[in-house]
Amino acid sequence: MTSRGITLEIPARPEYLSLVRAVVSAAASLDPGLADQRVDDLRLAVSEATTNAIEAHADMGSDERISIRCALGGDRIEVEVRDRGVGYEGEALDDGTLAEPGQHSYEGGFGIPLMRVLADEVKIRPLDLGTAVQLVVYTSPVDKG
Amino acid sequence: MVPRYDRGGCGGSASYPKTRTKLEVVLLTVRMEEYEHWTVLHAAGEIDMSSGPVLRNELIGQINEGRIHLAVSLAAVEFIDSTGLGVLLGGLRRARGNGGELRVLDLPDRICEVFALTGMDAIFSTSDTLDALCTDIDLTVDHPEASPQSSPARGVQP
Repeated sequence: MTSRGITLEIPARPEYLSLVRAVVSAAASLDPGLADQRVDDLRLAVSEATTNAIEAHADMGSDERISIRCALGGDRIEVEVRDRGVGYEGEALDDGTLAEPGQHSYEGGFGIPLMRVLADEVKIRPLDLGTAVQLVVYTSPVDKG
Repeated sequence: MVPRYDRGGCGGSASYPKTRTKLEVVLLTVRMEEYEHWTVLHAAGEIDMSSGPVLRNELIGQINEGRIHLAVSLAAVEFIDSTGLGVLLGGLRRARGNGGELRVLDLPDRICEVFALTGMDAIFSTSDTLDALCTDIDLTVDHPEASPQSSPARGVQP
């Protein structure tokens, strides 16, 4: 499988989120096997992962950069968001779906469940320092006539 | 969304600039209009961790000033993430905590999908429109404690 892609490194600051979304969307749009709706799904999932990464850095006052690697190839697009912040809480790693609506009485907690709904695969793994979140969306074969 | 980059000391080099690059992005604008009992906030742009505080502060400010029947028009919102949803939930909680209500109006299809995926469509009606709001001045009736004649609370409940 050949793959092509890009890597983006950003300061852990919220004002860079829109840049990440724009770059990942543009890269994903290069794959003709990915419908516009799936590009939107990936864009939102990556934004959630990057938001979590920014929050992780903020929690420890880190000014390290966050890396976002987007690889296109084969039957999938993979995006990996790596931070160097504090790890996720254990319960956040559960495979559970979104909470029942009545539970949303607070102003957060949607991020990881939303990623799991939007992406075809989500893998969250701790690093020696930080966390890597891998998001995968499958692409459809393109009829080359 | 039109990002504008002050390249600072970057100069096209592949290495990081020695001076901090300034990234100025106008993601979200919020314009307020009043219709009968309702205060409508027209949001335009993207609502995320960066821009969410703009809307959150606007909602809190309106409630603090006694405008507790709020509607947020999302017709011109191109993107919303979990932070944006949290801002709307927080606004709803504060509005109701002060005897009012918060509605969302004119959801684009994509935003509607996000509400459905997160279960937010069980909390907010996703079919309300500004037209309906303007023609049905009794919309507050379905939230009994939100009488428009009542004296609005001045403080914001946490």
